[in-house]
Amino acid sequence: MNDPGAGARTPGGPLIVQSDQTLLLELDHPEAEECRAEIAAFAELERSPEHVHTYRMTPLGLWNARAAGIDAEQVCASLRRWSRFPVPDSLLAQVAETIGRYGRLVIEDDPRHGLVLTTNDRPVLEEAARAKTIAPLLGPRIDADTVVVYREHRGRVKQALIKLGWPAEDRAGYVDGAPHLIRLHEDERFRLRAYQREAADAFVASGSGVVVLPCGAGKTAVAMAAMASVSSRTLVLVTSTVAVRQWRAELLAHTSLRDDEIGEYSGERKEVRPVTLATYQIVITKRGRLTPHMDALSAEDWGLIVYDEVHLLPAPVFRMTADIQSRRRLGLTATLVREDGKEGDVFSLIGPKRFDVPWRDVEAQGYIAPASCTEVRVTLADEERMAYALAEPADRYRAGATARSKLAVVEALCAGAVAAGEPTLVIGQFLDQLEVLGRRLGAPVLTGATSTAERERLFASFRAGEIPVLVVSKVANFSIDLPEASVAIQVSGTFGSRQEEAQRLGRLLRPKHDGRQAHFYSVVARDTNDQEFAVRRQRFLAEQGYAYRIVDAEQVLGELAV
Amino acid sequence: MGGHKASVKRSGAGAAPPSAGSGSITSGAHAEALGVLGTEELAALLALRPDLAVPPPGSVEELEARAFSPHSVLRALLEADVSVIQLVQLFTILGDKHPRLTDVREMAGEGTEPAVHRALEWLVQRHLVVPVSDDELCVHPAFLSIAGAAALGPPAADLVELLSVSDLQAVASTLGRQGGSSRKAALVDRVLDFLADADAVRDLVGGAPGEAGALARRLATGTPSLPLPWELAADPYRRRQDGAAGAGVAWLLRHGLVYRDSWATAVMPREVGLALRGGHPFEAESYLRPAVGVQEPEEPSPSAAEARAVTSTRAVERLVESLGSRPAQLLKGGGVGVREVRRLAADLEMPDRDVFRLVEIAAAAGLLAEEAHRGLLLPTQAADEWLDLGTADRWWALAFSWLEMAVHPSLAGTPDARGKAQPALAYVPDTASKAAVQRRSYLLILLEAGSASAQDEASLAAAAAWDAPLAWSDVVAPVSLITRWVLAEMELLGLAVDGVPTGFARALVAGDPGGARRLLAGSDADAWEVVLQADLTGLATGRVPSQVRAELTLLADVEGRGAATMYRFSEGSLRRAFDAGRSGEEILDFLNLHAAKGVPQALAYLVGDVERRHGHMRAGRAACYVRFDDPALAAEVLRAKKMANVGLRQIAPTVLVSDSPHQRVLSALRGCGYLPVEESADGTLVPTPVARERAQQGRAHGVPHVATQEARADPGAGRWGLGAPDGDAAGSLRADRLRALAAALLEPAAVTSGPARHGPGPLGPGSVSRVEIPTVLRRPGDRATAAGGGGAWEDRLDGVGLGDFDLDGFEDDDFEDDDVDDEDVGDGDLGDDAFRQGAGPERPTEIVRSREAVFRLLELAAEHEWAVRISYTSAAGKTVEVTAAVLDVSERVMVAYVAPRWSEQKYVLERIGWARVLTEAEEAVLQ
Repeated sequence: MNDPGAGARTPGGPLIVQSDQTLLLELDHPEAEECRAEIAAFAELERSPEHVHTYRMTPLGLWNARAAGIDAEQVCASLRRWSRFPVPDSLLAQVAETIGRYGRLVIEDDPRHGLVLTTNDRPVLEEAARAKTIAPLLGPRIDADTVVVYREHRGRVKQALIKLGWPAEDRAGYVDGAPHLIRLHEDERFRLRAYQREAADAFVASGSGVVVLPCGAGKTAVAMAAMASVSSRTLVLVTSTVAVRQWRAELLAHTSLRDDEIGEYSGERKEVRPVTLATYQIVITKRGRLTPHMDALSAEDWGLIVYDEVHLLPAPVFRMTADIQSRRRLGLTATLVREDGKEGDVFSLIGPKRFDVPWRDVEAQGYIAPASCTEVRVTLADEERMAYALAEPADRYRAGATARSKLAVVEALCAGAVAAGEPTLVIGQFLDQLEVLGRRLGAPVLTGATSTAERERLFASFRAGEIPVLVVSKVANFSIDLPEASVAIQVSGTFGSRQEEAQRLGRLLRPKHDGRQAHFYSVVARDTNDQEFAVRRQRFLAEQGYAYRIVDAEQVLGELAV
Repeated sequence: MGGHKASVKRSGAGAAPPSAGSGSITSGAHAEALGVLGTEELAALLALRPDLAVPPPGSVEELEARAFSPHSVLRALLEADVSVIQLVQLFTILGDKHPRLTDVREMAGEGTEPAVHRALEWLVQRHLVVPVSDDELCVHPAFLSIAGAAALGPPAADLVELLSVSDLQAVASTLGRQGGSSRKAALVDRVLDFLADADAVRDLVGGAPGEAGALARRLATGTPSLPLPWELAADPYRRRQDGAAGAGVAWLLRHGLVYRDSWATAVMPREVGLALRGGHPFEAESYLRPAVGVQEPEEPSPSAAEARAVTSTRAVERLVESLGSRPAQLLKGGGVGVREVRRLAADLEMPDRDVFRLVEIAAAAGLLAEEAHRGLLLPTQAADEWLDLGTADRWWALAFSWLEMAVHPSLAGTPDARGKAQPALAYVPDTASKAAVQRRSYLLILLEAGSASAQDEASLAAAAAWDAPLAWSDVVAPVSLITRWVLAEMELLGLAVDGVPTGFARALVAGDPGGARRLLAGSDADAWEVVLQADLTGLATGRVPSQVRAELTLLADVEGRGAATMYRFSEGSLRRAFDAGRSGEEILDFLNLHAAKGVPQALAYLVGDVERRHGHMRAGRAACYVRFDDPALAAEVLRAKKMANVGLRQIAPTVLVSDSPHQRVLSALRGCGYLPVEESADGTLVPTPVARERAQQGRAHGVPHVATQEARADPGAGRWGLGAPDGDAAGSLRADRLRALAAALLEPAAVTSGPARHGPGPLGPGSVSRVEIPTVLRRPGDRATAAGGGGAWEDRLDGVGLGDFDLDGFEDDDFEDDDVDDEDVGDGDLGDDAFRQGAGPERPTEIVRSREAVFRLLELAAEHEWAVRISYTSAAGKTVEVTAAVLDVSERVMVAYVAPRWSEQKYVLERIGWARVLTEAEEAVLQ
């Protein structure tokens, strides 16, 4: 408050600081980029529509920043410096208070007592040690400022402390794990991009944490770079068997790893090798009250554990992760937002966010194909409207989403895309609708029932351009890689969850070798709750900064007819 | 010092009136002085004594009267510092309306000249003292009668007078002034003569016995009065032994140094006290202001002050808006309670305490006002003007009002005696508005001292109290608490940051709104911009004009507030705008006009989409509907003149609605010769044959009230039987229903009409919800109906032998008709012909309403022992319907047994609204 120099405000700055701790950044302002560079360090980008981006300062975000070495003074100075309007003192005080909570408690490796929790603020330790959730995890008190933490409870203590609002700084270090040399093969076809290198370095420097990169920005490459730096036995946890195969292919192509060094631990195979790829599913599989696979994998001497799609990490894996806090952990994700709100667990157990690039920035660097989003509103035929009107509430969404009136529009869109030589994905939720579409479009339909082999075969043909249109169900949402799909048409989808949208758009945003624009269409039945979900989708996509248009089906049909 | 202040204050309020109570007593010099003042000087005077200008005086005379009123003088003295107050007391002690300046100076003592000069100047500026010549002053008369001035007793002359001659002799002899005349006046003079000699008094006290001397000195320097021991009170001048209780007082009494001024108290005369103080009522140092430790703290960062000024202004802005959309409920005892304040605090995102303060300040600024009859706190019209000002001016309005306000805004929200937070706006300001003086004096001290650091809080408070001793006496809270309040309020408004006064404070004290504008010039506080984005959000930054803001708030929901307001457009929010009468075009025009970066396609599409769907369903009010199979028929009915008065409107090609009850519409339709049927809620017809209906009801309830219900349901239902033209009915009704109808039509009783016989009738309403009030005043339109429909009716009436039925009977003002069935028989005298119809064994079925007809009907009923049903309005105005067996009836009164208990009752015929004879079936049920 009394440091006029540091807090000098540039009148008319690009930032507006709101009392609810959101920061509004005006993009057209000449200083916007400079300001963004500073505030991105401590505030999460929440919405990035075309003119004003919204950042939010959350306790986790501020602690992430603190973990990255940014202190309260810097944050307050940044806010004051860029703010267009005077920043209320109360807000600055609150920010400083929140940041000040990080690191009052430190977990350290004490040569005599092993793992200890120490503090420079005795009452905080007192509060923590007396908390019901924490007391059982702690060992004997060594002195007023130090208490023993049982090694096996390192993760749980951190988890409980963050809930208490006193996030601990973990300085206890990591075990190196059994060494295993991994080298990255860089050539003209594959080269780490600058931000990937930066992300990997940021992770390696800290030992554990999360790297946030948009779909298509090459998270796998970051992981490979990290694996090469650590060069030890590595466990990679991914979302599905298909993803396992894709990881394997990537590792073989771009690292020194040989086929026999890479193990697959899935429902089909149970191989444990220097680099093991396992699915979340198998890890959490239970036999009675036991989780044999989790136990088997935990027993290995890993030097690095990679968590793919950290925002989907199932809760039981958190438990496992809590037990292996001495291993280096790398989380990869496109978004820190978890539908279940367990962002705090990601922070405490995997680690703070180490690297983050807003999607638009990656896109601006040319690594993600720019996408245009178009919502096509279909007016239902009268009988369909009646069917919708009379449907039971539970069936309503289906009645609207699977309306046959959509088919003509989808056909028209597909026809247009195929004519332009664009590989096209049709994505839907309801299998019978997909079957019908498949028949009408003459395209193969890929659902959960499709065997893995068949799936891979279809993907391969699609990639090769043999199949111009592929109809896929929800299965397609996660961790498949269709680099050549440049048009996606969504005909139905569940409840427009934010995650799902990120995934679906991700499908399209893989780099196109010729820099073509990707198109995302969603076909929506007008005046049904399909449209309501579309509103959410629109909000999300527009918040992500994508151009979003709404057109009427007649327009689409008319355009194509012309 | 405290004693002085208290005494002066008392005198100001209490002792002044005798001398200046009339308010018109003005000293010659004063009045002259006022009369010769030029415009500038008069303006300066009004600036120094603002109370003189409110309300604006009509003439110089009025101004004079006001200026010399004790109230105004006291108000002026509230701002006087200790030196002035002491000087005023010197005038009292000098006791001369035209004291000499030299005397004043001499009494003040050495070393006080500059202070006295300053104080005198202060008084002269305010016209409380007028210099008459170089050495002569003219003081306000009120100054001459300040009781207990300088904590000295009353003049000796007033006290000595009270003694009896013998007591006077005793005193005079003790003082060695015996001899000479023993007349009282001479004795008094001798004693006063002694007391006037200050040296003699001092010598006397110097030689007094220890106890008496100490007591005398105590009385001289402290409070001049003391309680008398009871034995002394009884006989103060009796000689007593040394060492006895109260010997000291007794000694002083005997030596004329104290005098009894009431039964149990004694007081030292002014002359004695003054002599013992060496001729100077106040010590020389007391004219000097205690030193204030001046600090030179670092100037607070302008942005911090600016942030506070802008934040508090915004908060009040928000407060006004919030109260405008949802006014605060006032407490029963007045004021705004903590609950409402908490709600506002949540809305403003501010601590409760600050919201209490802002509510007080906003109310003081005239932005909020209580509307007592609704018990609400609402923004005023002035608030709208205020909202349109620039930020600096809005801040100024708040700060200025704060400086002047008569209560401490921080008092609200502090715990009262029971520990409950005191409501805002509940404290009645003292008329002298000490709070404003306290606030200003502390603010000035703070500016002088440079900072309110904790260590010299006490010295600042002491200095503030020296600057305005009257204002700081008898305060609502400890001085140090009040100073803390004032500081907190200053911090809230940006007048201070961390205890250091800011440029805003200096501008405020200087009365310079331009200063505030300059300070806020760089803050962009008044710039504004609206940006719309594709995610359907809008961002309004800065000082958006209230009209634009209001429109945005209509079009979109507010999602976040602060320096910028985040709006979210949604279908719901746009619908609200369409509901409010906006068109899609207007909305887009508005957005295009104000959106700095254009309207995104998605938003424009949404506006169009909502417009497309808006108003696809409409709901309205109607009492009944008429459905047709054939649009042509609907059109015909709509145009039928006779239907005009039931107010049918077309809402669809085959649907008409009306605000008239459905029975009336049915009757009207039938009156025109149509063949409507009544439809129930599930779309089926309401058939129910008459007879069965009646029986069912009777059995079902088994109580006489059934009849009531029937009568209520539709007294004119029988008329519908009349109204259904037999020939036309055949085409549209089912056979059984037709038969029932026909039966009803052909039955003579039905022809003469009687609800009792027919109940609701075949076409009557099945609805129980329909309650009829027989005494509803007939509307002019209804009358027209009856007349208009008259032709058809008369034909039909002729057909059934009621040709004499007198439609003009409707005109009889004694009778009130149902609003439902104008066409019903209702009233109409039971003329001879009609009566003949009901004579003999046949029971009459009419409902009669005229007094004469009622009388005849009741007589008839008494004769034949028929039970009757009557509607009766009690003296209290309550209308009841009863079933009765008539015992006796006269021109005026009916005596009857009344169901169900068959108690004997008397009814005044005049109050019987209508009467009818029960049917046999009804009677059977009764029995």
